[in-house]
Amino acid sequence: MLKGNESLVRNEENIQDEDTLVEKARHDPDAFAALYRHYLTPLYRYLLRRLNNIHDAEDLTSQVFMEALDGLIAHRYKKGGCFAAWLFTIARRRLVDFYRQHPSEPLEDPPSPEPELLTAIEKGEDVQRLAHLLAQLDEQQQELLRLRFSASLSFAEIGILEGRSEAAVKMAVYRTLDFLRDHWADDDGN
Amino acid sequence: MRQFYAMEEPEPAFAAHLKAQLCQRHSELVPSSQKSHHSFLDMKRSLVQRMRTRPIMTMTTVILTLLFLTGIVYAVTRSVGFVPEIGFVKDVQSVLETPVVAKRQIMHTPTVEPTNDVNPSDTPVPVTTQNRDGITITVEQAVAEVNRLVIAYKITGLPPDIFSPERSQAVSGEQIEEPIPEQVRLPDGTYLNFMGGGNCEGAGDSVTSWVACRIIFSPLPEGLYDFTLEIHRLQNASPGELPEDWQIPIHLTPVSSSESSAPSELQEPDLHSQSIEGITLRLLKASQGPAQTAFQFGLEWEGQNNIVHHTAPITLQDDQGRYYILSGGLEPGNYSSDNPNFSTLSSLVTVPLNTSELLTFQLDWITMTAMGPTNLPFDPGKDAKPGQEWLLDEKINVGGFDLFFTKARLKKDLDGSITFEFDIEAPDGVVGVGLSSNADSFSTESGYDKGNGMLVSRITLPVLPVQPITFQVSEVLYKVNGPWEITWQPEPVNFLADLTVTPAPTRMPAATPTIASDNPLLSDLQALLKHAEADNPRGPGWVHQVMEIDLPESTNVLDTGDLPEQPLHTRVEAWYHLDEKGYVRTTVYIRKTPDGKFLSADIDNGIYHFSIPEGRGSIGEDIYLAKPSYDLNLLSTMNSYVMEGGMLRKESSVVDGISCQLYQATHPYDPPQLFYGEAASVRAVIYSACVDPVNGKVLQVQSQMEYEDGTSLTKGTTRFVSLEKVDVLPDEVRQLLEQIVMP
Repeated sequence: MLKGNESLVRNEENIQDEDTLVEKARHDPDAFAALYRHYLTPLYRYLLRRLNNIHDAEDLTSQVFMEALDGLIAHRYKKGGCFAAWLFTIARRRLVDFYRQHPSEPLEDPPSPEPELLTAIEKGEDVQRLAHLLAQLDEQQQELLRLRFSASLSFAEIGILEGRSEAAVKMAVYRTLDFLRDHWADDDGN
Repeated sequence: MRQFYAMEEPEPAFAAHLKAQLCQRHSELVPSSQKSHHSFLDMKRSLVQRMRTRPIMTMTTVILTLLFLTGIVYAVTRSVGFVPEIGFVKDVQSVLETPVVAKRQIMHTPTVEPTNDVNPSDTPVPVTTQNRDGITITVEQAVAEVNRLVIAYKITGLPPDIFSPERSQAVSGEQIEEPIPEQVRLPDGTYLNFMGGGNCEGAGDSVTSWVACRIIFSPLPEGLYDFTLEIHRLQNASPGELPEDWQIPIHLTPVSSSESSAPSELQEPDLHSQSIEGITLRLLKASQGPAQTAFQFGLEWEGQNNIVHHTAPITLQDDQGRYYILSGGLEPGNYSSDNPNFSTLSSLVTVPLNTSELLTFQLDWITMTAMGPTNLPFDPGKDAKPGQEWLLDEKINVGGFDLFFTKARLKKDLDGSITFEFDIEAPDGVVGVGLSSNADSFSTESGYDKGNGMLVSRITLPVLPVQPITFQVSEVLYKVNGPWEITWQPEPVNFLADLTVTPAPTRMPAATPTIASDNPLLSDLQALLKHAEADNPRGPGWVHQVMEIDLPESTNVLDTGDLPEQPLHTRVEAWYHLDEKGYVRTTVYIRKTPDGKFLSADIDNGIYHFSIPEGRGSIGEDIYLAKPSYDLNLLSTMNSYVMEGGMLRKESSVVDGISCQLYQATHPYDPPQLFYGEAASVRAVIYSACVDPVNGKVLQVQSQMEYEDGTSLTKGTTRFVSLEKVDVLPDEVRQLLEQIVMP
């Protein structure tokens, strides 16, 4: 089964290996397939979180990988860069284009889980409470959590993507988690 | 949090389909190893660099050049069917009638004139600026269809090395290039959705480079004919290096209803081949134009959970067996979202057809993928060590194929990564078995290991994982042999009389490389080779050269079954047609076994290239003319070793009983480098040539690798057997040339 990477930690060795893999992927389809396997699930999860529609998420996932492949071979990705950040930059651009094409879903509104999404999630009471709390966060906070937990990006990678330092990203994520923790006990699901 | 955010998994069918699409696109964009025929020819070609910028097709195609070559300019306003540089079009709303040209100069940084003034702030500082030749962007074609907007543009005047791999690597790793360099802005400030790029091709020399691209956007709103093409920064340019923020206004002309009701050139014949093992080839579209003829094929197959991985080249022949060269077109292949058992193949183009006789398309083989996944019950255990082997007795079924895993071994690779390698007994036709793992990252390869005569599948991990590792078989690649054939009859055409003839461009002599004159041995070699040059056959006419080539057994490289068997010893008969100035106009390479059995042939006339029996052809642009090299460009090769810091030495030697001077160029690698397919790290690559000291003729060239462990291996030996001018071309060569329809 094609599995996503469930590890949230990408160590230095992995990153160096990924550099090698990315270079190989320019001419080796198996190497690109390895990148695909690695990033498919995180990318799909992230897009599904943003779009709340499986069909749209699949569509955009396809577009992002196609564009990444084109870009790799055309040397639009510079060696030594951060592949994950580059890939998700493409994804964000695709999302912007998608929202332009579907203006009924304005960019500013935080997406709320659709029933089909919740169907895929265990409908525990805790999960529903969490969903309610998350909906109270602003878009930037929600995006950080999506990138951290859906896309499984490291703080450094999120920093590159967001144009912020790793420390700033870490702080922002932990503060958001603190907020959720503090309000967990208070929230009664309303 | 993880449960909430990371529960979803992509549907396996979606994931597998996308993977197959990406694989197909990768093989379209990156030349496969089948270009090995071409690489031999490339050594003989001009100094034109072929650079890749945006994605390009496997076979390079320059449609505009084809226009010039056929002497025909296509009137784009009657663009229904197939438009050069654009592709198949249908439901055209508007088109660009006249190319749009935008030019900008490249300004040097202002330089300050030196001054002796002790108080420079009091005196105006003279500043000079120097302009040099600038950049020109020409939007050559734009076609607005109901479903998309396609734009073809060309950039000239770029720096000579802008697309070189070395340049790309030199750019700061901290820069993340904008993924979408071009945008289409509408008058209301909104942007069209970028849907894809493709078919960029470039070329360059020591002076300048150019690139031509085709990009696709979402459709223009109905009734809108004006937009601006924005290019923020030219590809591969560093910030500020070249003119940026290009804004090119484009106005399209609506295609009138009278034009759109004109007879369409787009045929949708829906012809199909016989079905072989449930697979059918379909001819979906054909378009006969005055500049070229274009086709699009599709494949349909039976069964579940299987998809097309890649195919042999499709060939086109008339009833006398002559080939029309089919070159890669502009439209990529696509999987159908509605029908999981159907996909289109990349479009193909050939010359304009003014025949109405029956033609036959043929496809010889297809490699399919049967999708897994299926668990592979193999646990190496916690204490697995490199060098360890396991005897297995695991039989699993993947996609209907019974695979018998007989052995596993653990190897440590030279770069520190580790590889699990499995020996597999598989049914006939299986050419690869793809593995996957629960490891964080891995790479795989599979094919026949000629060394042990087994189908092998390898999975490489960066390090030996500490957690339990599981394996799965993700896919099985199997080859289905055809041939699938479709017979098609072109429609009668009469457009040739109506159009403007444009003369073909003049091909220019290639520049002569500059030899490192401060190396006395190189100068020595150059003088010696000049002796031979004086005696070389001269044009016009045909020159015949015979070479014998020995190659070593390839180890560690897995055979995927795409290439025909490559014997280790071959005889190459090369035929060069020289013009009155001695430039090569046509080259024919015929490969045979040592006892004279035909293996393959490559024919190249500088514009067209074709391989027999593979049937792979291309319409390429070779704007430079070169004199023949009868020594595999020896001086140039030695020079490149020296220029890259290699050492050159000379000693006396003997080849086949003939005394010669052995020139040996060595390129050291410090530290030793690991190259794919090599069993050990390489500490030096050596290129040597034995030259007759009296007449300067090259008797033999050889390449070798020296390894870190002190061993060495000869990678190839070429002996030059004979060289002569011939008055009459032998039937064998004439028949090969006559087999190809070349305008």
